[in-house]
Amino acid sequence: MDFRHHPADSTEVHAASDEARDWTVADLIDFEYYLDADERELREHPSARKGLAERDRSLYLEVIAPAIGDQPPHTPAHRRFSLRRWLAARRNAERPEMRGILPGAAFASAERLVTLLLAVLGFIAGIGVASALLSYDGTRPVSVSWYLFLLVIVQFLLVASVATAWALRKARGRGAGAAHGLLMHVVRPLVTKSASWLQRQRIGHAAAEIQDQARARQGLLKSQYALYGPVSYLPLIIPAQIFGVAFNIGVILTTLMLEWFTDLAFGWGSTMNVHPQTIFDVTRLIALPWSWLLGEGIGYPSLEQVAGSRIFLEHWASVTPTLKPDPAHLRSWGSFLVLAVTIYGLLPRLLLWGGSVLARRLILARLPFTHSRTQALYARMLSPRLETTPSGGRPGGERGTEMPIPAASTSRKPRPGGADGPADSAPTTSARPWRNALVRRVEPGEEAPTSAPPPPLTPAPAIPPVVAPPVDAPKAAPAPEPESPAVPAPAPAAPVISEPEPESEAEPFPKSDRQAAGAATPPARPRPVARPEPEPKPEPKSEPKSEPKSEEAPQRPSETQVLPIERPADVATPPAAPKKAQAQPAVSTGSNLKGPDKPPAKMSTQPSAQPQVAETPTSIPKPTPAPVADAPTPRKSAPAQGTRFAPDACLLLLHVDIDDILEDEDRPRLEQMLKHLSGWRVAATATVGAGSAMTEEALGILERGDWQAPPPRVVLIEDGSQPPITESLRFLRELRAAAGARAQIMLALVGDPTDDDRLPPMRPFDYTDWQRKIDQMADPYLRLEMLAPLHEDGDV
Amino acid sequence: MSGKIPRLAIMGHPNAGKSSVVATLTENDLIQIDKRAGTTIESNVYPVIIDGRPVIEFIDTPGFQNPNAILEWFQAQSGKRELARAFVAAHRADPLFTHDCELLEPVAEGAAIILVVDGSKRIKEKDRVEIELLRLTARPRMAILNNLTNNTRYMTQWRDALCKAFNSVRDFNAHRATYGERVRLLQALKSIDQRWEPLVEEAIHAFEHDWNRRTDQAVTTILDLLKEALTYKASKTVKESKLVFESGRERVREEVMRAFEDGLRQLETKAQEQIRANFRHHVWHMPPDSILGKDLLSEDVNQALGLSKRQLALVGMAAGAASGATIDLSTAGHTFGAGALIGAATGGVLGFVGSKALAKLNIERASGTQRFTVGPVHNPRFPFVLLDRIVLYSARAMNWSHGRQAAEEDAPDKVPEKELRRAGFAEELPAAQQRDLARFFNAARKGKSEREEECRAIIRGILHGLAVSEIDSRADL
Repeated sequence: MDFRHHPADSTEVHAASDEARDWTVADLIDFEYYLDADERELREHPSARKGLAERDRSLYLEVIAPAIGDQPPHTPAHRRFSLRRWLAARRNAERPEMRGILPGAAFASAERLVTLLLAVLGFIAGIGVASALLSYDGTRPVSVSWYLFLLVIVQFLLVASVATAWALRKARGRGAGAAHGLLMHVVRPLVTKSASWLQRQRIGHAAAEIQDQARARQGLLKSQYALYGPVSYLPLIIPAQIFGVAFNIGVILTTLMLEWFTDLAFGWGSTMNVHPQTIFDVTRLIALPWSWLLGEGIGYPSLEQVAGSRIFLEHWASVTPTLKPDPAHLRSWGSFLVLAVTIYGLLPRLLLWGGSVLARRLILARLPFTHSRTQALYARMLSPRLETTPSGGRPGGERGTEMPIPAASTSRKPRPGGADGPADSAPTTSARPWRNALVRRVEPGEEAPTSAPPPPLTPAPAIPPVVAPPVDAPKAAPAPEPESPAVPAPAPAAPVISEPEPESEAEPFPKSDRQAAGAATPPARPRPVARPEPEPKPEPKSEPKSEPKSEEAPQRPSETQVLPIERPADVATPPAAPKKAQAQPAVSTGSNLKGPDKPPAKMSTQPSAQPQVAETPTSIPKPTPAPVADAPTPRKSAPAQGTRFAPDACLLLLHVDIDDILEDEDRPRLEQMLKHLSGWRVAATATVGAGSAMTEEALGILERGDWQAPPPRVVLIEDGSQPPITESLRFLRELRAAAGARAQIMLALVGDPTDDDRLPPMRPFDYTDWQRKIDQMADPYLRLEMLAPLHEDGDV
Repeated sequence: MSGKIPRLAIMGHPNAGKSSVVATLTENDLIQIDKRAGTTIESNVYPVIIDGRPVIEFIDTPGFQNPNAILEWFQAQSGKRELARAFVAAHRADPLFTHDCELLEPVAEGAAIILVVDGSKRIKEKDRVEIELLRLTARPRMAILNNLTNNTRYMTQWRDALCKAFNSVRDFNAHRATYGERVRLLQALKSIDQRWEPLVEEAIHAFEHDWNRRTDQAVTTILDLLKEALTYKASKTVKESKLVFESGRERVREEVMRAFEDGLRQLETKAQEQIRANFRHHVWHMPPDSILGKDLLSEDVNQALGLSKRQLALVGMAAGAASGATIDLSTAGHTFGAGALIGAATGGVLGFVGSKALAKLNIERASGTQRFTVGPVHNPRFPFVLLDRIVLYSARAMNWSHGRQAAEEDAPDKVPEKELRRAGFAEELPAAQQRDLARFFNAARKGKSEREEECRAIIRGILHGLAVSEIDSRADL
């Protein structure tokens, strides 16, 4: 057997042995070697941790787990087995040429080599010693005493001392693993040296390309396996026992050979006066173990033979054959000696050998594998590998695009909801339950809604008497004053307005039908709203709005609030004066709702307050019809005659989010701010942002509007704290389409409302966000502004 | 197989924090997040892969661009069953609806919905529209109230609105989410659809496993740092001829001292890097006035961290050997270095920590040369300071949510980190543990290992407490 070539060179052999379930010392060495390599890599490249975890986990899942059955993890057996399998897998992953170079394999081979070497040496030594002791030239018999002393007593004492040392050590609870001077100083270096020699040899024999790789691993046979306690020195004891066994076998074989093939004479002598009886007794004592089988004369010499084999030197010196000893007596010791060596030399050695092999097996079987490095590995195997990085993404990765910017549209019917015409009416009904809810919620806070419910029950007339008159009165009074100085323009407009109102009233019914057909949404909504109590609400609103806005009102409660604002616009129209008388009652209804708003704002800037009043009367008639086909009527009125927009008046489109939170006292402020920003007064207000129907209405006002100075003026107020979305931009496009290419559209943004300020400035960051998008729309007549100037921010 | 794993589409309008939530949930700070709206322009799938097998998929979607239109379309088509699918089919070609199709596509394919809303703002029309339209999709759904501020006034309102349409509603601050919070959110996923329980359970288990492993790793790093720092020495051998003048001697002394201090700093930096990698952070913003931004050996750090004087004295006495160091300290500067070869002379006291010497300078004279050596660290307070600081760093790393990269630290209503005492972690440990630490430090100084397991347990305890928010993370330090 050439140890310089690993058996694994012929592949398979080693791999097969790796299927073995039990650990061997060589396995431990390789295990430590791999652990060490991993640890070093981790220390040098901490980032390698992931790779290691991945490797170990997949080894565990693919190779180990299937083989391990359903043993629960974290048990010693599971740990042992997994680690052993892991080692096998690691080894099998090596190239076959490399396997022989692994320190474990080298160690195993070295161990075998040393064992063999020691066996041969022992055998030869045995032969040598025995033949030296048994040299018989025919003159002087072989000395039984020397033979016994050297080969039996000394050997036995050696074994006994080793055994007691062991026993003592055990009793004291495991003395430190060192000691064993002879072993440590002779056998261990021997094993180590031969292992590295073997490694070198094998590397030398290996293919050139793996030589470099292999060299890096040379000399890795470290004494780390001291970690494993007795396992570290047992491998050294065993060869020593082998040596002993071989030695004894050599002795016994030599003795037998010489006895068989040569004529040996054994004798004993002593200078002292020793009686043969003593010798006999000693002999019998020694022969105790086998005397039951091979008795006196066979297993050991009889007293007579003992006496007969005594050597008196003078006999031989004088060569007087007178007292010639009986050759039979001289030969009688032969079997005794062989048996003595067997029992006291060979047998203990065999026992020790067996014992140490057994001990090694037991220790290996009980290794807990719990030191920290093993723990880390074990944890790596058991921890599920967790990955959260996207793997490659989706196939069509490049299709992502920025937020789409709608193209300019010329017609106003692109909305998808509208496209599926047929379904329109039904769904819209149930469209936004929360809108209703919202309104109700708002009601308590804002007067408008609360007031609304009562009117419906008793049509418009009933309401005015209730509370309205008183409220109106004060308002009305101040209002007129501002009007006159304020604007000449409004005055002319007024008459016109007054006209439309009546018309609207008249037409309501027929129109409602048409509208229902034309714009499905509006009709639908009124119904749901109306049935419970809501119906009434729309009506009152419709009254004030009389014009286009009335449409909105039925749909959304939120709009109802808006109405007041509209009125100012209406109010602006002078007709108020003539109708005042009527107005008062009407106002009362409106006043309940909107009274508070208007007075402050309008008084200051707009004359409108009165005109509104004027309108109200017209509205009054509506309520009555309303119960029947309430909602529709107002809308139709709108198409018939648009709001009149004075040259300096604009249409205010308010996003519902803002509209929802505006308190009455905010509205004048809003108008103030607008005026400041654009120089426009608000002629009409509509809400947008809660569905196509609402948009439709808002645009309807715009389209039907009677614009005094042609390009329409529209202000859209949006919540700037929300980033722009396609929908907002699309609305702008629709607005543009409805208003005409040159209409002045101003988009004013407000920030996130706070308690103190419901129309706060927006953050510059949000503004730039909007700005980018608006720029992309490339609409030259669209202006983007912050409603509240930024510098106020600091003040606030 | 992949059809059965839970797929969760994270939805909401632009800038609601969808990507932050995904980043935090999956601990992935490489997800692109920008405070500008519309950073996410297509649906990205972020799977949780356990052992190569996807277990959950989070889908980060772009924001709704046309919620009103979608809702109206849904309502118009209310007769249909698979509304989302029908919508995608009908609008795929429309460029205006690319994002909406993109985000509804996962839903059409059966993904459950996690709606992310900003709980600090009031409910807007858009939100209600989205809630409604998601309800109409009839998918299992859950809502996350991502509140990045301490403004809670709208939370109940949100809750009311969301509860009507969602199987479960949870608070979650994607910028502050600790490990514990993240796991709780994952737990909540189970409630969306019972059939997912095993897989979600597995994912949670894996996350926990992973987290424990990382904690252990961090503890090892910390212990290594302490051991290394406590045995660290810097030395320089100089020819006698260069030391003729006092100025030359002084210069060498300063050089060695600087080398020593820099060495300590580098050790700390190295450990910090390991910890940071360990907790998977690539992006990192440090508050400018953080203790961590200050020099390790500065007086500020020393003031803020470590043990109090009284504790230190008690610990020193109790730890026995430690008292040696304490006594040494009092005489530092007067004692001669023990290892001097020939007539050692102390070179004075260097680098004060807490007005006590950090380490001593030894000068060994040999034929023609002198060897200046500083270290190892001698000051009993220093290891506690170092420990506190690295634990603080770990706390930052553990609790710095991955979705936080775009957080506006100066946003006016950002949640103010909790108010807390300016005290280190070690200071709050029970005395017995402090003693254990002191013993460990003393042994480490001599290159020995004593009480290492106890200390490991102590540090692990601290880190664990931090992860589940039992121990305050001292975010303001």
